Amino acid sequence: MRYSKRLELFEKLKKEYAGYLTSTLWKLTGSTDIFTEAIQYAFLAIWMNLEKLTGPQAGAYIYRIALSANSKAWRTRIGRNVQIPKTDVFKIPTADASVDEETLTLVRKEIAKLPEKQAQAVVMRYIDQRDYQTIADKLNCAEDTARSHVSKAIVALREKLAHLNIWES
Amino acid sequence: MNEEKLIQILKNIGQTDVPPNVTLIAEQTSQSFTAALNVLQAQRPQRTRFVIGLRLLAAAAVVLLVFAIGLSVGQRFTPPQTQLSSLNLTGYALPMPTHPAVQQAKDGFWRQKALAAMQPRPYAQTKFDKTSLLNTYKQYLKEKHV
Repeated sequence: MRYSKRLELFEKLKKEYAGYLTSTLWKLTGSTDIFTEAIQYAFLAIWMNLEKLTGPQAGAYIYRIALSANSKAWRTRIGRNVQIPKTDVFKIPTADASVDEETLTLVRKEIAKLPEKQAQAVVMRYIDQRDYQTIADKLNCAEDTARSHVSKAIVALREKLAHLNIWES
Repeated sequence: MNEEKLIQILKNIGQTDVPPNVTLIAEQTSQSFTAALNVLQAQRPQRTRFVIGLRLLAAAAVVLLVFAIGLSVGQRFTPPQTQLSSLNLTGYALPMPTHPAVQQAKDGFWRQKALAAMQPRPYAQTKFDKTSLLNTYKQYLKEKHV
């Protein structure tokens, strides 16, 4: 594909998915620093995989891009061993007062560490509130497999977050 | 209970609204990314022309080099002239019509051996079955006691 054509296609896709990417990445990062890094990775991934995003599986692929960009941004942050500023974490209006910002940050961090399919499945199921059939379509697998991914992700998250004292209440 | 709480946390994360400053960050990032791509596009034609020229030059140099090597090798080593006489059965054996020993001199030792080997075996006729042996033995007894 010619460069000018690629640029044109990129702009089109960016307009189409920028809203979704912004929303998902913000929910998954909760910090402007990590979000900025993640959105850069996402745009780069769109540019690198333009052909895949024009096909029938574009919707599924954008999920992969978002989750992959989120994981990369978190990995870079964890790799640098930088403390995430507490003031930067977005305050979520939650009915449960026992869940503080730090816990939410830890949950996000653990989501970023999950295997790709599990992360995609759990994000689609509980953060995007999709049904299992849609998840199965996006992941290109059977519905039972999608359920299994979600279940495994939940178990993994519970194990990783077992040390938190939020479970007792 | 724990699982429910975790799911509730995840759902809460999902209900997060995107603040305006985050949308602004996303737009700025998008614009700077597009600007970087445009800069790359502006630089691209010159680079492409240079790279294509370099590749053509390299391909021509390789072709010339191979031709020169072939020419020099061809001049140095002329192939040996093949003579027709050298093809006369030097490496070929004639097909053997009969036993190899028969080809040798007449009445030679090995010829006689070979001819003898080709003769039907005399002892083949001395073989007898059990019945004939019994009959012979009975006849012998009759003759003995008569």
